[in-house]
Amino acid sequence: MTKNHEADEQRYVVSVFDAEGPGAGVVFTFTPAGNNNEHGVPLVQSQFMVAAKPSDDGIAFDWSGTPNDPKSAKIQMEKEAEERMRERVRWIRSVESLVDTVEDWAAELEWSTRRIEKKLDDGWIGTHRVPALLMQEDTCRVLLEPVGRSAPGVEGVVDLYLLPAYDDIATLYYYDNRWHLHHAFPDVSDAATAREAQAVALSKEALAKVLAEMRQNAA
Amino acid sequence: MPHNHEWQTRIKTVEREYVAMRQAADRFLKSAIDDPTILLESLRHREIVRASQNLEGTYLMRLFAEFEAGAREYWATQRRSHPKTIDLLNGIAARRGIPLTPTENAHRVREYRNSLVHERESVPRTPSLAAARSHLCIFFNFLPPYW
Repeated sequence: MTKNHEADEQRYVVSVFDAEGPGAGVVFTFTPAGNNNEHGVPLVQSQFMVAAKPSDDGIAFDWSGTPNDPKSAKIQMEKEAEERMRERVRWIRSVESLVDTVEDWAAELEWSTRRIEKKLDDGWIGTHRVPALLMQEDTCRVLLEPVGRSAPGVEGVVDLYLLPAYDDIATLYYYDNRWHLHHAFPDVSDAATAREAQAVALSKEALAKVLAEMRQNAA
Repeated sequence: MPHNHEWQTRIKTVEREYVAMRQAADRFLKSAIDDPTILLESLRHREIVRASQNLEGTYLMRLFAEFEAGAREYWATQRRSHPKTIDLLNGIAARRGIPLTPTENAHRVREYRNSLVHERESVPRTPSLAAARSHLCIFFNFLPPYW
C-alpha cells in the first residue's frame, strides 16, 4: 500500500509474516506512512494487524489480534491484503504444479527424484515455502530450484542447476500463462538476449534435451 | 531444505547478486562517460572505475563469508573449538573424508580471499567468482544433509 490509490487515501507501510502454527495463514501489519515530526522522526502512531487465510470463498480475515481499530480503513487494508494473498497463492500453486509436472516427466525419463522444501523471502507476499526437486541419474544430479515470483516481464523464475557445483544450466520463466525454458549458455553475456533467443515452451521433450546436456556436462 | 543445500543456495545467491551488480556497474560506467552530470555528491569517474574493478573481489569476500558461516555452523555441532579458517577446512575435510582436490580448491578460494582482505603483494592465482562458487559448493556437498 505504498502506492496512492486516491488523493485522500492514507498510505501505509505494510509488513507480511507467517502466523504461528500450521495453516494459521499470513499476518499483515499496517503502519501509517509519513507521520513524522519536523526532524523526520516517526511519531507514535497506530498499528493495525490482520490475519489472512485462503478459504473456500476467497480470503478469510481475522482482526482479533489488531492493537488498534482501523474503523473505515478496514476495507482498504483488506483489499491490499487480498491482492497480496492472491499473488501468494498463485505463485505457490504455480511452483507446486511445475514440480508435479517435472517430477512425472523425470520419472518417465528414468531419473530418480526427491522433493525438498525451500523457504523464500519476499517483501510483497511474505516468507513462504515452496517445493524444489532433486533429480538424479547415475552420477548426474540436477536441482530444480524456485528463485522468486517476480522479475521484469515474468511472473516466476525457477533455476536448473547441475550439482554439486550449482552451475547454471537453464532457467524457467513463467509468462504468457506457461513456463518457458531458457538455456543459460556461458558464452552469452547479455542475459536479456539469451532469455529471448534461447526460449522454448517447457515440454517433456525440451526437459529431456536439457537433462541429456547436463548428463554430458557431468560426464 | 537440508542444511547443506540451504548453505549452497546462499552461496549461489551471492553470485547472482554479483551478476546483477556487474551489469549495473557496467551500465553506470557507460552512462557516466556519456553524461558526466549524472555523478552526484562529488563522485569522480575514476572512483566508479575503481569500484567496478574491485567488484568481483568484493563479492568473493561475501561469497567466502557465507561459506565460512555455514562451515562454522556445521563445526559447532561437532566440536566446541573455534579454529582458524585454514584449520576449520582441514578439520571438516578430515572428518567428512573430503578428497584432496575439492579441499585444495576450497583453500585456493580462502587464500585469494585472504590476499584481498590483507592486501598482500603476492596475490594467488585469481579464481573467477563462478569458479569460486563451484569450488565452495562442491566442498559443502560433502557435508551431511542435516546437522
